[in-house]
Amino acid sequence: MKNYILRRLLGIIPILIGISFFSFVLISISPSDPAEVALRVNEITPTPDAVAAMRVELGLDKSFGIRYLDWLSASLTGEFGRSYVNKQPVIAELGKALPATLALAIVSLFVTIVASISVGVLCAVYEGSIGDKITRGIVFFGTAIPSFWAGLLLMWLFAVQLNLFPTSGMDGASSIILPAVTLSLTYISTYVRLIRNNMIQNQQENYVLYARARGLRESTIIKHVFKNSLQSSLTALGMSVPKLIAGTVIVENIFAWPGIGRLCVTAIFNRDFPIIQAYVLLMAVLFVLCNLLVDIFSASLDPRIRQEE
Amino acid sequence: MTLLKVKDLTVRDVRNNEIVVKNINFDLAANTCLGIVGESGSGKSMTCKALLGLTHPWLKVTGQIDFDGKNLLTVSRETLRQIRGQRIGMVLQDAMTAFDPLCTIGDQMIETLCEHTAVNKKAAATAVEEALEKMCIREPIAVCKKYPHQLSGGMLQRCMIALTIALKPDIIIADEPTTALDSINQREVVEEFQRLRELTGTALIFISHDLGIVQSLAHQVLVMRNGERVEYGAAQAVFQNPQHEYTRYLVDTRISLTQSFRDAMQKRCG
Amino acid sequence: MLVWKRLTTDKMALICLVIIAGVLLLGALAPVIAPHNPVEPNLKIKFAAMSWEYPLGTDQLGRCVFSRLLYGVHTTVVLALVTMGATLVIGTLLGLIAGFFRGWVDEAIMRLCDVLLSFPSEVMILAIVGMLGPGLTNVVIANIAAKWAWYTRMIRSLVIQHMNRNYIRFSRVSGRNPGYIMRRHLFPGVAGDVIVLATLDTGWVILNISALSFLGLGVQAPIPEWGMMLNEAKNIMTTHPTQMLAPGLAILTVVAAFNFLGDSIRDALDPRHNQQKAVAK
Repeated sequence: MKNYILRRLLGIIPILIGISFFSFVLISISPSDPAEVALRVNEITPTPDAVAAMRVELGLDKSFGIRYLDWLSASLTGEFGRSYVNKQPVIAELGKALPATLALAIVSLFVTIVASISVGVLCAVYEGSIGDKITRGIVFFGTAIPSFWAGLLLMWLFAVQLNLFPTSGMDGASSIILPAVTLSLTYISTYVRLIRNNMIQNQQENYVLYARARGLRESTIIKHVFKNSLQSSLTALGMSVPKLIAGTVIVENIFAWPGIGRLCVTAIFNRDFPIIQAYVLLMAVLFVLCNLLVDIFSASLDPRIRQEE
Repeated sequence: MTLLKVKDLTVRDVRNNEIVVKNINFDLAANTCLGIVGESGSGKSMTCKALLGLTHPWLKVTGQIDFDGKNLLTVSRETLRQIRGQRIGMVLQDAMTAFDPLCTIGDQMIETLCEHTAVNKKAAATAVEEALEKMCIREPIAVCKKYPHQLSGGMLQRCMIALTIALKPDIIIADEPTTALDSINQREVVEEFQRLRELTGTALIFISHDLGIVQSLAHQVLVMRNGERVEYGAAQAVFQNPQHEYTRYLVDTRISLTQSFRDAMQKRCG
Repeated sequence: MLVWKRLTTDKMALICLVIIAGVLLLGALAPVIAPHNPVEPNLKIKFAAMSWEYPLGTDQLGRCVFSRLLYGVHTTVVLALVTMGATLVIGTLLGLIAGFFRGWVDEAIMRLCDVLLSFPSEVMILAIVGMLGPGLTNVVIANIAAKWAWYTRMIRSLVIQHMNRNYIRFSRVSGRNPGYIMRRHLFPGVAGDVIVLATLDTGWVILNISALSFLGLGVQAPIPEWGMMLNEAKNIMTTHPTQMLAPGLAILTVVAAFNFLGDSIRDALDPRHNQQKAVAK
């Protein structure tokens, strides 16, 4: 197990370097000169002199390699530069918005896990029943429904018509419910399907036949099947954590939720490059770390890997 | 005394109306062993799964299976579940995949004992250890702590037999318990079955395509082919004086095989 | 061809095919069959109800919703197909090269894929749109950039499987040039699997494009696009909620059709899976 973790930790180092390099290169692919953009967003006419001064201020006069190393060492200490727009440190801007996004993601994850496990297991146990068929129909459309449309429909029904929740913004605990449900809809559909199919596949296994042959209760057998199918579902569920956080972009914009997704879209409109760059880097690192944690966790569930020497 | 009476057992696949097992009849008396032989796909495994209601839902089983004054085809699912394991035990062919890979062998055995007998976990653990010791497993406590992937096929097969014995059933069904093993383990497992019969007097249904093994264990033999009964009778009679052409073919092939093996060995040694 | 035969016996797959073909045809014929100009506002008749003249009514600027939907196919579906096409070409080319030549070429391509695949694709798309700026072309570029690595990796592993088969070995031993082997043997060998994945992903790309347009990062007004139409409908939700229905249903239908078709193709390619399904029924 120790070896396994160590091996995985070493494995992500080149990926992290690749990610940082890509995030840095992103700015260079932009068709507009960052110095000019930085001037324009503050409504300063980009005269050649001003642009040159700004280039020095942003460190753009140095060579590519040196700029990358400077940026990388600054990033490692959490220094992502300042926003072009309000001159605040990027890290502070992200820090302000992150808690809202995390809260949204955690609630959504909770909703997703509870809903998809209970529905998925029920569907597998009562496979072929009317309930299973109806659920499969709903789940099918759930994967095809655009989340922005689902969000609008939910908002119209529960906020505008029934007046149960606020339409938008972060205003009390109830305001998180609509965005969280909207965000989890797609994932619930995916995981209900995944868990159901995994369970059904596991029920074909020989160990289930033997469990029946030795007279175990169906409820006990379902527990074994569940544990076995959870392992493969878990990997997918864990992978969805960063996807959930990335997916908040749309939901945050529909419900005016003050998180990093909204911050990023605003930054895109404002051409506020440092914020976009930091957002991308943050997301990618989060993604890699989550994958790592999920792998280690699911490995710790599997005795075949856990006891590896 | 007849323990189990099977009458006109038929298994039909409702998807394509194909008949998988057709009109099988046999009796099993207390303290005897019934051998079921036949090539793969002859329906011998299916027959035994049908006895305990372990067939896939799309297979329809008809006929009559009398056990303990009940027809197993009409009893409730819960009654059938209680019979499985406790009254009729089963040993499966592929021991390597027969246990849940994520639980230790000990846990799975204890769980089964607790399900059927009103004992607490501690008592069940002791019973499991005793059963494993009976199967000549040297370190039962260590084996209990292992996961299925850490044990060999022969060892797992013995655990399965030990578990079956620990439940003290009236009948044990062994579905090709030696097929997945190498020849040394095969012989040992057969010897376990022999000892088990001598010690407990449990009735045994032993399924195999290996005539030699069946000959050494069985009192009665049922020969199957394409889902039908080809021959049924006392083992002695069937092996020495086969009535049906197919049985004769099976017995002759075996004799000629062992004969040529013996010849070859004599040539090498002599 | 067996696959095609199986597919045509699957009723749902046929319905999906008809829906997709119908939508594409309607989009292509939009200039002919659309009753009105989709971008011409007519404030006098805004929020008109359904009528023969305006089959789905009009929006907040008095534009014909039906005509906008039809022209929207142009933008949404056609853009999605262009994206998938480009992704396939890049993915197949690089995948073939990596899988065929192996060595350092393979190593370089695969490491690049590793890095790209360590970003969630949603973030990747936002990153590229963010840097290049909002707009239609940039959305297409971003989608291609986010997806090609998946295809390259998959095609590479398929190619490697095929490379170990005897007919390729024979072809190589008998001195055929790499281009010939790739064209004649490898490409047909991997095409089937790739098409399945591409069909499934078309639905995903449609969702992405309309999502970006919904956020205002994709197609810019006044070009009609389904996601954009929803964005406009959002602002008048309290007064005219029915405006959300047409574009939302349109996206749902097309994406569902693509998803279902993808599932059916997968079943058709894998008869074993099909049988299991028959059993489940």
